[in-house]
Amino acid sequence: MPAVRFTGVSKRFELTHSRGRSMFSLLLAAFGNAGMDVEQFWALQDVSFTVEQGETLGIIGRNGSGKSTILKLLSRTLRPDEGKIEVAGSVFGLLELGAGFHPDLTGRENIFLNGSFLGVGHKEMGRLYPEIVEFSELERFIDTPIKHYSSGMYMRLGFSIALAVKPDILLIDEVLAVGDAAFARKCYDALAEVKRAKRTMLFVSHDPIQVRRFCNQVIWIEEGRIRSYGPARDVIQEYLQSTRGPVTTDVHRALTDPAEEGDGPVKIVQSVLLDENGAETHSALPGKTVTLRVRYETERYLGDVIFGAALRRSDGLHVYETSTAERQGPVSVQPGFGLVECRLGPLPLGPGAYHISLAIWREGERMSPLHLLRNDLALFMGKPRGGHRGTTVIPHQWRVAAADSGALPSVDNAIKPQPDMISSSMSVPWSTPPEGLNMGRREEEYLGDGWHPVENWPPAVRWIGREARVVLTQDVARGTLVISACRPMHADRPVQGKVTVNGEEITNFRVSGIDFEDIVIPLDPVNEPTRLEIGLVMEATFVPATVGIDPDTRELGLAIREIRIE
Amino acid sequence: MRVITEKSEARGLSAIAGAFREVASFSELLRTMVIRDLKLRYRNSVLGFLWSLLSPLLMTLVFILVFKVLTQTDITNYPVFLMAGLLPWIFTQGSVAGGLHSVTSNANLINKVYFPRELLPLSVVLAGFVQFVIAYILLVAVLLAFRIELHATIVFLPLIMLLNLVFAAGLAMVVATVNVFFRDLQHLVEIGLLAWFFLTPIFYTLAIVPNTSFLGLDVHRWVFSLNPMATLVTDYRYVLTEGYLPIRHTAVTLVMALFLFGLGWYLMRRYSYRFAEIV
Repeated sequence: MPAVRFTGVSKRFELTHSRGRSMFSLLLAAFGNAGMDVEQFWALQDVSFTVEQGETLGIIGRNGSGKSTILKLLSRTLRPDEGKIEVAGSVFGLLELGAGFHPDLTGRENIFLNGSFLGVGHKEMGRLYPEIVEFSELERFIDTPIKHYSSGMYMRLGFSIALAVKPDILLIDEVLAVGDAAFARKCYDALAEVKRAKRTMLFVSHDPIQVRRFCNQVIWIEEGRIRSYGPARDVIQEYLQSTRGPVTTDVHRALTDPAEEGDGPVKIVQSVLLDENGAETHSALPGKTVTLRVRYETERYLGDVIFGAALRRSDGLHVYETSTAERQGPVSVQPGFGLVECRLGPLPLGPGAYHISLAIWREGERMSPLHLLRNDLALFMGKPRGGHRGTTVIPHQWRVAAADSGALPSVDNAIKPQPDMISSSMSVPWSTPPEGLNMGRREEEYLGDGWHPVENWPPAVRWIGREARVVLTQDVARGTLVISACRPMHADRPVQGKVTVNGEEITNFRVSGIDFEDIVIPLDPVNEPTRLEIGLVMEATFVPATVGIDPDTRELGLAIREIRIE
Repeated sequence: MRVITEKSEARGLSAIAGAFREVASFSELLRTMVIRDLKLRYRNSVLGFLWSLLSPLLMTLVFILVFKVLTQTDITNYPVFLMAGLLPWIFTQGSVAGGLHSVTSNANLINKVYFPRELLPLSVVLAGFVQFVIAYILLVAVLLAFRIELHATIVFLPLIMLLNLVFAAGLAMVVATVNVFFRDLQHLVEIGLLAWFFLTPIFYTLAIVPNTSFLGLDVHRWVFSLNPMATLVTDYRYVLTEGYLPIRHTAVTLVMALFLFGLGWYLMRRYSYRFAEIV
């Protein structure tokens, strides 16, 4: 049985805003439309479709194509000029942010007000109230007037109400882009649940991946007419072909083919994203690191295979791809289970939804993988408060000169280059040199200004900037500087550099092993406890050129365990 | 399945009944909107709801100052006389002014949610009515407290209030609809309300107006016949303090009120589908 039926629906708008509604035109209108010269614009023309009960219909199209007009007609805020619309049951939707909210009322009052608009009584709304508040995660703000809410909070409240009242027909108009990543994820899950529960839904979006995920049927609207209407897979394929011109096979296939491919002897059985604490996650903030962990299973010895992961934005943009072929070379696979991990980050990605595809292939056979999971994992990038806008996070530094000085700060007090501005901006302060450095005990206390954590390799730090400084106090009886250091485990060459004390070069050093060795430097004796600024200057400056995406900055710099004066 | 787009086939009485049923089915919403309106009216003000009593009181004080002290009017019991007429005027004026913007200022709702659009002006009028009734009850209580003689005709008071409500609601719906298409109205209404206030015997009695003839009828008749508020204000006073209800004038006003209400509702029904496109 159909839940919604549009029969030859057309909607016309009159574009008269520029002239305004003058007395004269009103008089004319009163005597019929004779002499009126009004430009007409057909928002929808002869649109017919049927949504069966329990079906989810996606509506895609560019901005201004008429997508939202369909929902407005369905929610009865607009009336068509021609054609017939039939519905079975109650209709409610999230047409826009805060539809039907009053800014001066509190969250609680708005929940009940919104309920009344849906014909849901006060009592029934009271029953749904706890569920709404819980889903929206707004307990603390529920008695605050919602004019103080952020747009994300508006959306959360609206979405929670729409979901809780369980209308027979749910309308969703691309609102999920708002709000933080965690909540977006929650919304997506809730919508997937709506689809699973076989409730009728109309979903308007210009994000083909989301439409495909939530919808059985899709309508593609262009200039007010139905360009294509049918199963989601076919329509979206057509849509992408037209909007992208000749689509590269890769993107095209990624969006339209089945999510799984290949029945080779090796299979990915589990894949998770882990946050910096090792907990499973689906979201991250720019500058944070996630670890992709893949568990595979095979029945026989396979020789050398390559594991690869590709990251795509939700609109299909191929953001990055990497594989084990780049670093360690092929991996040989033994029968049984195995784990592959890839550390991604600091992530330079802007806010939005991303998908990770995973594949295993034999060397040289990338195009015919043994096993392929397309868009297997979702990663939602959030937006830090006051943080980045745009698609990418570019490491940057601001310098501001006072107007009267007329120049930027001189080199001495200019901002020092940081090895990793993305992560340092969110973690430890880096501007003051540490008092001493004994990384066995103080490794968490000081990082930055050339210092860098050693991945998977405590207890030590690495120093990868051109110059790093430590402030130590030399007592009267002591006169030897000891630096316990070695080359990073992943580097394949010796590390060389100079040691300076209070800016004066004292000696050169060179470490080649991966076991810590002491660099011993005699110091001039002192008469009273003296503060010394010990500097380490790299022979060759290694700057992690691919800040962010390349996980292997591990081979850069010098690993240091301790700096002390004996 | 139900068709949500075509106009109802019903004509005449059954159409009216259908419209009533629809509004009735949204009565919960209407109630919520009235409460919302009342809540918002005095939110963030220290005295809150008290203002609905205080502002007519202060206005009365001003009038007393002007007319009693400066012009030596000889109306007996002038404060009662004033309050009895001023309260319904404040209610009616508030309904018109509030109704005027009730649609245009709620674009947020009109564009996004469906409900019978009549509810917008109606909720404003009803919220004002609630305040009005409370204020009037207090007025009567004060009269009793000061042992001012009241008459049995006070039983007609609720009927007159109801008549006033129908009249105000009709007017509010008319101006609300017209203002959507013709924004110039808000400026006209401003002036119109001022003129109307002076043409209504609120702070004076008709007796002080020189009764000259104008177009074959005397001025008193013109004012009374064409101005339902004049009748209403007089009605309120008469049933309170004179023990008399001018039936004939009231009947004319009733007809006018019903006509306005019908016209307002008709305009709403007829044109509300276009509100979302314009607002």
